[in-house]
Amino acid sequence: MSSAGRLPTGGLIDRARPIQFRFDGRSMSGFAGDTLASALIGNGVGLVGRSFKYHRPRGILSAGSEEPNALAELRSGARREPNTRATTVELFDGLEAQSQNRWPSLGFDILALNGLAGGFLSAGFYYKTFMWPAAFWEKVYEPLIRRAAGLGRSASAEDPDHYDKAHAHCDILVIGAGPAGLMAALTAARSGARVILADEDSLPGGRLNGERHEIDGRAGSKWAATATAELAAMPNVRLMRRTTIFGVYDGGTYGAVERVNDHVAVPPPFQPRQRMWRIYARRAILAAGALERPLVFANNDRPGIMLAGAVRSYINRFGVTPGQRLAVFTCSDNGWRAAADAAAAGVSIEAVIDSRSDVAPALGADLVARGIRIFRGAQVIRALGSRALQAIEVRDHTGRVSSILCDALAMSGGWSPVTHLTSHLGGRPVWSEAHAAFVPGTLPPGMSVVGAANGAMTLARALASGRDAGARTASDLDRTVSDAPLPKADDEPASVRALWHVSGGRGPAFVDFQNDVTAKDVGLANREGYRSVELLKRYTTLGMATDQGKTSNVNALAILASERAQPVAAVGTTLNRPPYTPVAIGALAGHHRGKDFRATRLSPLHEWAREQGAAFIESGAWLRASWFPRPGENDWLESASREVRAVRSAVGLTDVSTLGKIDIQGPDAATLLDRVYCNTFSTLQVGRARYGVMLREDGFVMDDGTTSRLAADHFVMTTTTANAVGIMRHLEFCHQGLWPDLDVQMASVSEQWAQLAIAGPKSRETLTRIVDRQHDISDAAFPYLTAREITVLGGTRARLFRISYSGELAYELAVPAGVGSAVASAIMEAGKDLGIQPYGLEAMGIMRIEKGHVAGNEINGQTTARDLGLGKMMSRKKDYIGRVLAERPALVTPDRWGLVGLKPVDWTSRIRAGAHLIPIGAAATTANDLGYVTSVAFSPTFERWIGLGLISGGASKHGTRIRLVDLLRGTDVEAEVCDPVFYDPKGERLHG
Amino acid sequence: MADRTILNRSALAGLAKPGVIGAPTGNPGVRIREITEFAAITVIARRGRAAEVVEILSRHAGSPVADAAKRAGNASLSITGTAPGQWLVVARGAGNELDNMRADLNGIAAVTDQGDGRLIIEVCGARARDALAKGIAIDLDASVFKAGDAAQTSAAHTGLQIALIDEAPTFEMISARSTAESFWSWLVASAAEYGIEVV
Repeated sequence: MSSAGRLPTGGLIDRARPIQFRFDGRSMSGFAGDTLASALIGNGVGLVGRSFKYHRPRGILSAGSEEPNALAELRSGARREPNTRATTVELFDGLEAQSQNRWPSLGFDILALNGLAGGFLSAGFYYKTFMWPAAFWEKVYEPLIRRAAGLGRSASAEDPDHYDKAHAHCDILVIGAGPAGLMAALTAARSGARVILADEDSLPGGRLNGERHEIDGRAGSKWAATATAELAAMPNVRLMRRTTIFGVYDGGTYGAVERVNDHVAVPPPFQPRQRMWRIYARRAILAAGALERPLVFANNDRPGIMLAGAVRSYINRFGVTPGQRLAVFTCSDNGWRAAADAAAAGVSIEAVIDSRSDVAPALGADLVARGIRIFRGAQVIRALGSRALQAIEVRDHTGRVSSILCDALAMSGGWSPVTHLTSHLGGRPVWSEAHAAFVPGTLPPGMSVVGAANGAMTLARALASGRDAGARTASDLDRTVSDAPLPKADDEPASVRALWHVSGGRGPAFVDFQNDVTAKDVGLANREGYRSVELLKRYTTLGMATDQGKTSNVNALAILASERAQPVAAVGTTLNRPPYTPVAIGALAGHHRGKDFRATRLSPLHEWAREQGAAFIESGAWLRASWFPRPGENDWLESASREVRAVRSAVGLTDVSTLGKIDIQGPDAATLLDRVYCNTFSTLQVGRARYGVMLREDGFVMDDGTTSRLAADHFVMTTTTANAVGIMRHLEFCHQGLWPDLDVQMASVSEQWAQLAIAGPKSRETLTRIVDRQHDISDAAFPYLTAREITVLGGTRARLFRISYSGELAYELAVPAGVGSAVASAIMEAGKDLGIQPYGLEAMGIMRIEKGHVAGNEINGQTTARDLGLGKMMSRKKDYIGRVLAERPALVTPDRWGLVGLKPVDWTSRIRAGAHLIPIGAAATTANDLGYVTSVAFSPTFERWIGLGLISGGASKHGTRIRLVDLLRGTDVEAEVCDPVFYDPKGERLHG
Repeated sequence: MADRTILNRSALAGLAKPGVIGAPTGNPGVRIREITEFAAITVIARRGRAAEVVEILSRHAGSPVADAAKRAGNASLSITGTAPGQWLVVARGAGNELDNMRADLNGIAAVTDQGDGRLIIEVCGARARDALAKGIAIDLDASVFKAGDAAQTSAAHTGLQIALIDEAPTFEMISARSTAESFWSWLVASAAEYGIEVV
């Protein structure tokens, strides 16, 4: 327990609204307007977590999103969330938080023993130690390290909350609602420009809320509230609180996450927890402010040691103090203000230690007058205490070391502009000696930077730079900007002389608190040759994890520079990437998770298939009927076999609506088809259908399907399901890019038509019962490969195609999608007494293998028409896409892998797709590999396993024997190579 | 269009049922209506005939039709430019007027039936823009996207044609039939916090 606590008065909190919460099971109370961190301080809690590697006790370092230490698990059960920064968590009633990385308790943590082994666990420890034996890595070392390290535990149950994604557009995006951002937004918005102002805090105002500056003679926080109110009332302004702009992307696109309901226990019904925004802005003004740097000295991580600006925030905004006896250690003018603010709040100031000896005497005049000890040209060399700060050792300008008792230390190592977003498109910040910091370099297109983010470190300069950028940007966008007086504020002293590392103290001097990287580790990395900043980062893990080195990077670079005896500018910096602060995966996914992960396509026959009890399977984006289980059937093969037998012996009905369908019209429609198919379509008679094969430009097969001619200038093409979109795109490209002179019009009608295949010897008899009487579908009037527009069921428009995939007498009937399910039901009714059965994808797949039809397994992008036995289709009388390159020597050699049938010699053996074809007696090696099995099925017709495959030499191997070797499944089956058409090779069943 | 003697299922049959869903706001911020009775055709001008097609379409619409991303027409017939020289014509109701249009366009444009492959929904209300912004990337602000404006875009991984019918605002969204259920799931999830009335 430290002597931190609530101040009797002051702060922007609402003391009339107390809030109850729990930390590590202890009940505590705070006020509306508190963060978890300020409420913990208000309850006297100084120790809030254990560090990542050494399990050292840690407190609260900052008051913002840069916090490396105070990470807590928030909420419980399915909403448990690790690594939330206590400094940004708004307090709500019933909040539950747990400290992390400690066992058995925060106060007594066994793994703190790691701290004693600190010298041993230094940079590169894992790389050096867990090298051997290699087999131990996965089973022993990694689980062990993960248990010891790790940053909190995520929830194991599904996240019960909803997340949104949304888009917003604006003329000007202002990032950050501190004084510069508010001034920029006001100026731009008053011109009428569409403005979005985003700030990660719940309370706009930035540092104005944590400091005691006056603007126009009143409190800065009041000015911020007035400015915010003015902006909120303007219809052309979108004010986004609790919103972090986390990334800059191409073309003026910005990523943002809005924590819509992180500040309540459970989101109200139907509201999202968080919302991801994609913001499209013509211009952006970055007003992200600056981050204060810690000072690096021995034991600088003791709870109670805090950034000076954070101390001011806690006192001025939250009305809490981290201690009763405060010391200040600074290398900048700014640090002195922490002492002034704390003194004004009644906190005892034990000492102010400034590393600079030539500090302006006026700076601490009021403190001196109050008898406060001032050290100039002095340094804090060590902190004392373990779970709470007890004292500091100060080395004065003469070198004499003395001890000062204190329970809190405010440290200020100067401020680093928040340049992160300027780097996301590759801009490299440049070193400024005057600021002792990196300032923005090349900016993303359309972005300007104002205020502290651009090195304007005083309030008056920040306001002016905000106004100027707001006016300039609005003018750029042709808005008229009216002159408004600049609010009056002071240019307070803000000089700094960097102090990167205080040596000489006993104990680790931390640079990166979150990753437990010390100044010594940086030196070690340099001595071991990791001299580049990029290598330093990866070797030491400096700047990684949830804070991404916001408080540590610059100190580390400067220490590395000093080790290398080079200026910081020569050492350079790593570049920041998105996101600026961590973004929940849930927010990135938004609505699209679970079954909404992507859009599911449902066939127009889906309702019918559901009524028929279909088992559905995801097939690309489609949900397709796979088989139709019936009572007493034990597995899919039983069902699919019954369906095949029904088709082969009577009649079956299946859904082929998912095939791509393209309406092609115009005087040049036939010409286009002749050029995209390898076979000829201009000779196709009206009312006829033809199977076509398309090649890619490189001569390999792209797709196949049936195209029918409904009129001289009207065709309807079908494509495979998988290539439906791709073929439409291909045809559009051919028309628009290659042959714009062709008078041809194309429209996808895949969605418009439900398509049903009716197959089997009794298919005609079934169809006759639903086709309107005036349409004669007898064999003589409607022979194989006829395609005609008809009507069914008393006037419903339809298209009937006599084509067959199953190998039986078969038809495909297309009807408008809206009546698809009704027509399917009518066909089932019509065929009831004929034994009609619905059949699914599995039965269709079995029958196409029996029939030797190629599908996606064979048309795999590596096979030519000749390989697939379709060489005769390649016209010699016309030009078409793929014709020339299909004749390349390697594509016509006789030993190419060609399509064959395969059947096991032992008819009871099962064969597997993917098995390789190896000569009998040869070793199963790549050198002896003659091909592979592409498709297999258990054929209910032949009552044995059959397969299709590609074999070197193709059809010339018919009648030979080969081994089907599957090293993955450990099978080796002898098979006979045969013609791929197992069933009805003469095609007699298609006719008649 | 054809006489329908058997049951015709709309794309959202069984899903878009009238009633109030989402947050009980008392005054739903978003109203959604599925248009279930309509016919639609795509009209694609033959090479070099776009001007003639525009003239014929304008005559049928009773107002000027542009070869651009604009929606023209009246309460029963709308014509929206979908690509250079291409339009989607939607006739609410039985759609008999499309037969005359088809005849007038014979030889000048390719006409293709599309009504069965489409989902049409109207979204209006004070929070319609906020709900649609959760999936639609284009700028639907009143100052930018005005009545009669149309665009081809996407939402929830689904292609989408959107137009502003009036400044109420009433948006017309036309999408594919097969993805209607997923699209509905997104729309309802996006509008739920504002309160939804399905009419």
